[in-house]
Amino acid sequence: MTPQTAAPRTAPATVPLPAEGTCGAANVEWISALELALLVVSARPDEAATLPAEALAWVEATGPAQTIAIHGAAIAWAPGRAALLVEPTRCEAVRAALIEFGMHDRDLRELEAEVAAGWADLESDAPLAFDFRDRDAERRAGLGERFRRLVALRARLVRLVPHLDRPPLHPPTLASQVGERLRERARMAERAGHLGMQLEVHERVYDLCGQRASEWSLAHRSRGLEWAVVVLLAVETALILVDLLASRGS
Amino acid sequence: MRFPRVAIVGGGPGGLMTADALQREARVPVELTIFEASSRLGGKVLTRSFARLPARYEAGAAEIYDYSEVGPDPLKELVADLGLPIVPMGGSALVMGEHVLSNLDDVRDALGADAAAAFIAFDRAARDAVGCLDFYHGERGTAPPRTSPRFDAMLARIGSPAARRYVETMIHSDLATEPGATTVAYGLDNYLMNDPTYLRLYAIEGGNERLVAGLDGRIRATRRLEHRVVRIGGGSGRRLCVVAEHTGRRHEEEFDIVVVALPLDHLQRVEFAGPRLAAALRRHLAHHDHPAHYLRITALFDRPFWRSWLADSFSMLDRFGGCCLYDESARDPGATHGTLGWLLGGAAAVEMSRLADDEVVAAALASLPDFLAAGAPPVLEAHVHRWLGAVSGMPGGPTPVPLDLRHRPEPVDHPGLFIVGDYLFDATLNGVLDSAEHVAGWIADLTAIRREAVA
Ligand SMILES: Cc1cc2nc3c(=O)[nH]c(=O)nc-3n(C[C@H](O)[C@H](O)[C@H](O)COP(=O)(O)OP(=O)(O)OC[C@H]3O[C@@H](n4cnc5c(N)ncnc54)[C@H](O)[C@@H]3O)c2cc1C
Repeated sequence: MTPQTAAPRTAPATVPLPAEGTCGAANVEWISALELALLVVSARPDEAATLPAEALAWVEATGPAQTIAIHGAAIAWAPGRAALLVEPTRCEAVRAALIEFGMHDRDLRELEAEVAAGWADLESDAPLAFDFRDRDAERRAGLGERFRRLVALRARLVRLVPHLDRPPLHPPTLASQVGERLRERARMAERAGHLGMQLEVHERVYDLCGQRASEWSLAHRSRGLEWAVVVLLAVETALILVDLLASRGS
Repeated sequence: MRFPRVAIVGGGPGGLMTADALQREARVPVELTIFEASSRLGGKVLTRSFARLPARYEAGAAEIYDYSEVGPDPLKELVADLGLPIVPMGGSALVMGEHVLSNLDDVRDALGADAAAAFIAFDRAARDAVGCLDFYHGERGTAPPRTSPRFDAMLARIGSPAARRYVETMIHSDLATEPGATTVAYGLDNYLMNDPTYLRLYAIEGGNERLVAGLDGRIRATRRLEHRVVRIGGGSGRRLCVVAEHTGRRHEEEFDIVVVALPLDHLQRVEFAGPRLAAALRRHLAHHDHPAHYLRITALFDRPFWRSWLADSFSMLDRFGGCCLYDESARDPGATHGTLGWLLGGAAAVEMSRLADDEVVAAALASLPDFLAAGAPPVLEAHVHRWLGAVSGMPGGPTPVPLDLRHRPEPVDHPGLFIVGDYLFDATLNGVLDSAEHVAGWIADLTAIRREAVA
């Protein structure tokens, strides 16, 4: 195995790199969009795909690693670090597949985290889906905000799903196989499905909250109108009375 | 009260699926009798174990085709209904010489850019000829006839010999025959089924024979094991007489309806009484009989020594005209041993079947590329299963026959005689289920009408 020399970029100083001479610090690139340090090692076509032990240890230093060996390529992936062993001629395409997977995985994780963070709000808002009272009036703005956030989350998920759920390419390329295997291993399609179901629950609750709130506001407005009518009637009655008294006096 | 008596000849998947579907769909009770020549039900769905270790392998049908991504998949629904867990199967690697070609990049590196381009051109032509939905609907009765010259003519048009060999190797063991002995439609189907958009594959966890056990468990019928049916026809009135041999003696029974669920190699050994019925069956056989051959070799090792190179549940090997190499031990995720299975098809299967078992096993081991053979430990146990003439190399025949005529060869004098077979559709378990359900639905309607007429 020989170190890959293509396009090294500088990693931030906070990421400790493997020692020079094992995998070679020059092969590690920092992918800032993913906050990921990626080590690329060249494989020889006649060897079974196994990452050097040092490379694996380097990846595992930040946490337990997922490892994948597929048709001459090997990948280890942990939070913040990944290593890829691949033949030089296929490196660019496989690296791109890996980064694409990383982007989608990041987007999915962000969505998962945001939906998970919304459960507490959902629980406190859920009673409003049934009953909305005067004292809840000040929560209308918050409900509207959460509903808008939900629509945005749904839109992000809907845009992401076609990338996670796409049919396997045929005839395959190594890059397409790596991408498929990574998505499969990360159970992305399944996770997106679960996220969709969770969003549905949120949407139903906030949809009902919206209905209750607008019913309340309608009722509120019509109550004002009723009072106005009552006041007008009272004024009218008073005027009639004044009129009556005046006519009696004369 | 007498209920319609139905005989099912053949206790393979086709016979059992017919019995099961008929039981579900019949609007009046039917009295079912299943005749099976051997001492077990299941036919070519056969899960076996080694003597040395409790390690399973498939000696017959290895995988089930999954169409559920494209449309309704009755077989997958049946498997789910029986509560059977499934494991996905798949593989894209093809070993040519000492190279493992797992994707287009490998094809380009090993065979050259011209071969890769020729292969892509063939792939495009295949997809243009048969779209995903055409493939799904296949020759299932309503599709327009896909008459054509033989498949070898299409392969000959692949510009590069290396690419041609690559495609031939990829599909040879699925075809179970030579490209010159089958149609373009069937050849293309066998190529396109490698694309997961057209089809996926799965097996039943714990062995495919659990499908047979599941069906057997819920069918209420008289089972006549070791009853080889030798003659059908010539009963009183419109009834059909079934003559079966059991322990050297002949038994006769009359039935209102007889469903013959036999593969062609067995069907042609049954005598059909009466000139009209015999002639109809001769026509049926002449149209459909295009025998294809399989031979399975399964060897047990103390470890799966091939996995660093071949990690999928199966791969293709360019030996024996193209054969499939199954990692049988991959079906059992906890297994520490290694079971390797070779599925040979067509002429190579016939040729090898003439050899003694140990010679066949030696030839199989010798077929491994050097990079695998170098690390192979000794074989602990090996078995050979010969399936000569057991499958069809041209399902549906050279031109499609109307669906009803396929299943009822002589409707005039023998309206109660039905045929069920995978060879009427696509030579798979999915095909035999389609056939079984078609016949069961038909019989259910007939018995209901007959009852109403009597009432
Ligand atoms: C090696 C091999 C691999 C295969 N792989 C696959 C696969 O991966 N996927 C797939 O879908 N399909 C596969 N198939 C095809 C599949 O096995 C068949 O589609 C299926 O078994 C057909 O069922 P059947 O009932 O029509 O015939 P069979 O399975 O052959 O059953 C026929 C039964 O009839 C009995 N019989 C024969 N003669 C008589 C008689 N005279 N009287 C009474 N009984 C009789 C036999 O003993 C047998 O039990 C494979 C077949 C083979 C041989």
